[in-house]
Amino acid sequence: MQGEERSIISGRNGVTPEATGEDPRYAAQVRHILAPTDLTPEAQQGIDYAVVIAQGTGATVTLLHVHDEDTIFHYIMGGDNYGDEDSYRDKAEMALRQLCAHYREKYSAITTCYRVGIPWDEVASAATEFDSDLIVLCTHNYRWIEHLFNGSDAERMLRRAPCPVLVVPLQE
Amino acid sequence: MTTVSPEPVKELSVSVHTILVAVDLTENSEHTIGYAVQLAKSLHASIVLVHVFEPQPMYEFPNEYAYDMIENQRREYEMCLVDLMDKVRAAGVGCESAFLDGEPAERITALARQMDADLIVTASHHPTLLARLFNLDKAPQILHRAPCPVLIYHEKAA
Repeated sequence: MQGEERSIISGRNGVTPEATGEDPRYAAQVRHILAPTDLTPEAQQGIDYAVVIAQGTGATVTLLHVHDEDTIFHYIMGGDNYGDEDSYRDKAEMALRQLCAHYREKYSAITTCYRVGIPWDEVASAATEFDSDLIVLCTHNYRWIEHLFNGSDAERMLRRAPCPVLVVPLQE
Repeated sequence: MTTVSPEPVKELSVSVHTILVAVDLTENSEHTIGYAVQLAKSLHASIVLVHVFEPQPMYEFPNEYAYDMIENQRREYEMCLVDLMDKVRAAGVGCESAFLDGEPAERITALARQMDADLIVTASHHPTLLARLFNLDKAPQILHRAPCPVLIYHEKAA
């Protein structure tokens, strides 16, 4: 295994860049933060972090709600289930707008987004679409986040994330 | 599962003063540190760089040279960590370093508790494929035991 690792140590023998403020590695920009929420009050702890980081970096925050709906099930069952979906969508979008309006008192660059599907897939694809630099999750009420704590699932999920992920444990 | 009407939002109660950055001292570390520096600047926080040294597995019959090799490696890593700390300081962020031995996830989270860290930043996965197969990724383990938020860094897909 040793041979495969590219080590900073061997790089030190060569030319290392000046550690000034202009070092390109330290210019990593955070321009967009994705904040998935299940629209409960507890999830707002995660959004707090997203907004605070945005205040410091000037990033845009998108509040994302994913309706954890088994779309294949509905496709098979057919027909008239879309009524429920629409009413849920309306309520969720209104809740998202309220949340957005409240956070806008503290920081203006906040948008909302509503998706339906498998939660982590939708989060990852939204992050790719928005070119997010950070995803902020609060570990509450998201059963699928628990997979982040379990070995094999965790790696798979984290690897599929297109950008860094901040996991905020729920403070009691 | 979801109640669709949120209660009124309380004041933002996020304060980040100390960021613990766990580095494995490979090339990826520079990017992780760069990201953490940017965060630290925007949150007006300081950074503690931590590396947990795991000696390479011993040969079946270790001779004196094996111990020397490990000692040398350890010393090199220590110097490397101090170099990184200097770079962070030069970038304008207060920085300390901690060079530890033992089991990484355990030591990192223990240090976070001890220092009352507000955030842990770590890279997402081990750079070598073999290590990944053997489940040496530290991020899930750190997540599991962390007393504070954990930011798992990896570079954005181009």
